[in-house]
Amino acid sequence: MMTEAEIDYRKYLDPKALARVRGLELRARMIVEGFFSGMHRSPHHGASVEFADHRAYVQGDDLRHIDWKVYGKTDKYYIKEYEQETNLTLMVVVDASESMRYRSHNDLMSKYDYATSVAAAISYLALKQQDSVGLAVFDENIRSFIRPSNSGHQWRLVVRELAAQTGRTKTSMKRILDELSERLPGRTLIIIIGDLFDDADAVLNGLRQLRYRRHELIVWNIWDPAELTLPFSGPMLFEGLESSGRLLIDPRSLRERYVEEVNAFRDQLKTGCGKMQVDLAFFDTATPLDVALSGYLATRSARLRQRSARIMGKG
Amino acid sequence: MNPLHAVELVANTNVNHLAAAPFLHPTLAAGALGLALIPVLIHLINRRRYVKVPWAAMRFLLAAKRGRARRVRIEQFLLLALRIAVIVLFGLGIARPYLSAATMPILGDSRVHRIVILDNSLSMRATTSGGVAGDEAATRFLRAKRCVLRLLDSFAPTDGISVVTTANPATPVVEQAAFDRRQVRDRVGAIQPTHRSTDVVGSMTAAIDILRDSPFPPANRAVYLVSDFPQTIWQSKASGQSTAATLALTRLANALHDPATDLTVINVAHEARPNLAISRMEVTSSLVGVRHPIRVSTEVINYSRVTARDRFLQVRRDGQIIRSDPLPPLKPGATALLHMTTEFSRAGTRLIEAKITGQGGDALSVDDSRYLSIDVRDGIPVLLVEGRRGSTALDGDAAYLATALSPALPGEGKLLVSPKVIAESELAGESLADYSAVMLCNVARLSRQTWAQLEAYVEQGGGLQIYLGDRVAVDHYNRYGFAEGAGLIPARLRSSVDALRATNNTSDAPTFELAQPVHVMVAEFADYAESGLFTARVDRYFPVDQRSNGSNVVLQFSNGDAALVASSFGRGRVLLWTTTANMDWTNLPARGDFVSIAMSATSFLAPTQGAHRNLLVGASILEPLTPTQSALPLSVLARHDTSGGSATVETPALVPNGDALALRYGPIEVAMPVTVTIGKESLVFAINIDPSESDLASIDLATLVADIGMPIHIGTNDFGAEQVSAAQRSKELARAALCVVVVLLLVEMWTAMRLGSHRAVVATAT
Repeated sequence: MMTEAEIDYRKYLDPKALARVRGLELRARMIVEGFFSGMHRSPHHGASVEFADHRAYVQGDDLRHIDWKVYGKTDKYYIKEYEQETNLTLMVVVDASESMRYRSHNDLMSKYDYATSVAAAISYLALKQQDSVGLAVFDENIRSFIRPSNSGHQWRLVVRELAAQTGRTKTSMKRILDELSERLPGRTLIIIIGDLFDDADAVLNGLRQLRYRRHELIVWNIWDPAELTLPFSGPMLFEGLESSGRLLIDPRSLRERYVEEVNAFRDQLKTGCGKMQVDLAFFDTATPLDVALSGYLATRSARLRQRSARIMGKG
Repeated sequence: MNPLHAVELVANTNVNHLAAAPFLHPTLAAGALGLALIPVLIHLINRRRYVKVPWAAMRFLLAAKRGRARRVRIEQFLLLALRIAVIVLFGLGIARPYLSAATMPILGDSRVHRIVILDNSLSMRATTSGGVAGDEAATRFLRAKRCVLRLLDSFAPTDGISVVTTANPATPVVEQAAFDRRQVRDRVGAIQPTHRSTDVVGSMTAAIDILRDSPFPPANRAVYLVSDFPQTIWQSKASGQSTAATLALTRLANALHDPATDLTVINVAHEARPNLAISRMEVTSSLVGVRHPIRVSTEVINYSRVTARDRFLQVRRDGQIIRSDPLPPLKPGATALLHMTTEFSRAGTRLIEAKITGQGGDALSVDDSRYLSIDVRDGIPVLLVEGRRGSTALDGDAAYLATALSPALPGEGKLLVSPKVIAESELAGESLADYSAVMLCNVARLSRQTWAQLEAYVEQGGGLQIYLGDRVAVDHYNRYGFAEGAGLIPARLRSSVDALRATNNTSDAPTFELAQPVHVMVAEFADYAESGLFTARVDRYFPVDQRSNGSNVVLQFSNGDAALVASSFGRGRVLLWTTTANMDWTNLPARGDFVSIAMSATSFLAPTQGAHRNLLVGASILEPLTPTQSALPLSVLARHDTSGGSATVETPALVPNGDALALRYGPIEVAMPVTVTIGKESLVFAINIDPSESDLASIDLATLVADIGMPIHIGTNDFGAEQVSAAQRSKELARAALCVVVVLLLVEMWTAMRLGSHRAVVATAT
């Protein structure tokens, strides 16, 4: 029998493989395991010793952690903080509107499954790194809100909440994001996962409001591959999810124009997010999930470096 | 075209409405139009048969549709139109469309009733210079048929077509205007060249009748005469005179609206090979007896532009070759008359066949042979009735005549004619049917019953010869014999005149002369001026002052009065001499030629019974049967090949013939001998061609047009091929339509690909 260590978790980064795995918690674990085994690095080794930030020395601090090089430059005592000692607040915001239930093929996950898998995996990873993790699930309204915490049972709370929600109504991004900006205290790293099928200006306005509150934003725009190419032929009656109407057409006749519309929407998001320094990434449900995790870690590392540089600059 | 007229035209001709459609296969066209609905139906069905797909990114789809809705609709309609066009054009293409005025009124009304006259007479069997005799592939007829088929191809499918053949009798093969082109082609294809003569007049009369009954407008009628235009028929020997054919063609031209364009004559004659023909074969004596030598004359004519050499004339008697004589070199147009003497060993119908042999065939092989059926008799019984019986051999009124008819002395053998001399009073007791002829010599008068018996006898085919004399009661003869032109005697008699009274000199007495035109009975004396006939005197005779209709003067006296009058009565013949049969009134019986005259007269009165057994192609055999014969088994053996090659045996029909029956077989289409068997008796019939067909020279059509005196169109042998045929035009249109179909298919595929996707994905929603 193969031991757990011998299991190649990397295969679970493939959405098609993950789609066959039932249970969000197990799926998230597999994503993380697969991710790190792919990097030849385990989250259980060295995570606590990885330097992350500096803070001023206070009485009672272990003198071994004083950074003497900084003292030599600044004549002030700074304690080296390692990753497990960081206090990053991560808010995962998942779109659970009806449009997220769509999947074009049985081999693929629905957009919501993909989003919750990524959200759970990110939460797991963040909590493992001692970050505080919160969750907001919304459709027309915020259906579920878990305040950020790094408590031991936080991940289970998050996973349970992600698994419990089912999309019912349409998305109202602007209102949701405005409400979130009011609820979230301080500077928070917010990861918004959804198809964002709303007016692009409304989405961008909501993001702008969050940025105004000095939150860090990561937006992962999830698409089903069919939504990108409209690969159908023959007469088809498209019944819009989120009560968006019905349309009987031969999709071949609209494909070109449809793709243009999609690309225009994505371009508008990309441009708007770029202006606001919001990390926007597009995923389709066939994209391996390690891409999302890599994106998160890269953003987290960059943020920690910025904080460190800021401290160094003050010193 | 006036629409009302079009309706009337269609109604009158019972034309199927599809015949007016612009397609060779209108049913296919109708089918194509029906099939054109298929893409529409598919389109409509597809609109009802769709796949339901839950869709999240509806906002982009709606946005795309807003921007593309009109274009998509246009593209869909374009695609639908392309598919409809592909099906319609393909269907119309294979339906063979064509353009004509009938289908495109803007082009005017051009539906034409076209009447084709095709010559299929014997001369059309003539082969070309390079052909072999009998090889139809190189005959005039084949050229003519090809020409007609080309003509048919050149006619518009809506044209009505009639076809008439010229072989005698002219026959409308397709009388009513026919629109089924395939049927007309089949009918034309079935026409074969015949052995018959040409009935040009009849064919043109038939065409005129068809024109008269044609429902087409007068301006929309056309006639095409395809023939070899034989000179013998179309060109009069006397300049300035029109032949019957020319007059008929003129009538036909006058029946057309514009002969210059509506009447086309096409001469398919070519430079024929030399043609040598047997134009005539006959025996000089109409009375042929067993072991009685006869002279057979055969006439051979060279209808060529070159001298004919090294040819032979082969003669067969009852199938056995009896002579094969070389023909003298025959210059172009020259005639050779060959004589031979033969005799038959037994009675019955016998066959003489003549055939030209030698190296190198000629253009027309049929006229190289000729057949002659001869009735050979054991004897000809003749009844002589004399008014005054003589005490010696030459005293009776019929004594000289009896001697002349049977000149042999007792013991010299049996002669052909067997005369029996009886007295006037014995006539009532005789069975006249036992005699071939009855001859009255100076009979004073007959009872009314006897006159009636004689009338019935002659009516049935018997012969009656009447010599007059001093005992004749003129009033009685005129009253019962002449009967105002309705009786047996062909002339009314006046009182006898003494020819010597005016001259008182016997040397000035009237003599005998041939009346003009020379009667066939005495034709042999025409070139025999030294004959005793012309030196014989007549002392007394009965002038005639009135003759019955149809009677002819055969001999006359030098003073112009009639000496011998001939007439027909029923199926028999009558000869009336105005003088005596003995030496009482004329010394003619003492002349040696009296024998010839007597025999000729007997031949005239009792003709060869087999005359009806020499027929021309196209005639039917009709052999009267006695009641006994009617009960016997009958059969007909037609020998298509005189060398015994092929033959057919058939049973003839029995038809009423007066009070009795007759055997009927025919009409016979081939020149050949035919043997009819009645019980154990065989009768041979000779079927020959009309010798006028042997002259293959054709008239120059320009001369013909000049003779008619009005312009008509002269077509070439390739007429029809000069024009792009309707069928060809139709093919080109069909080809063009199919090319467009291919292009449209490519466009349709390109459009469909452009509008379509590469693969289908089944969408689901969880």
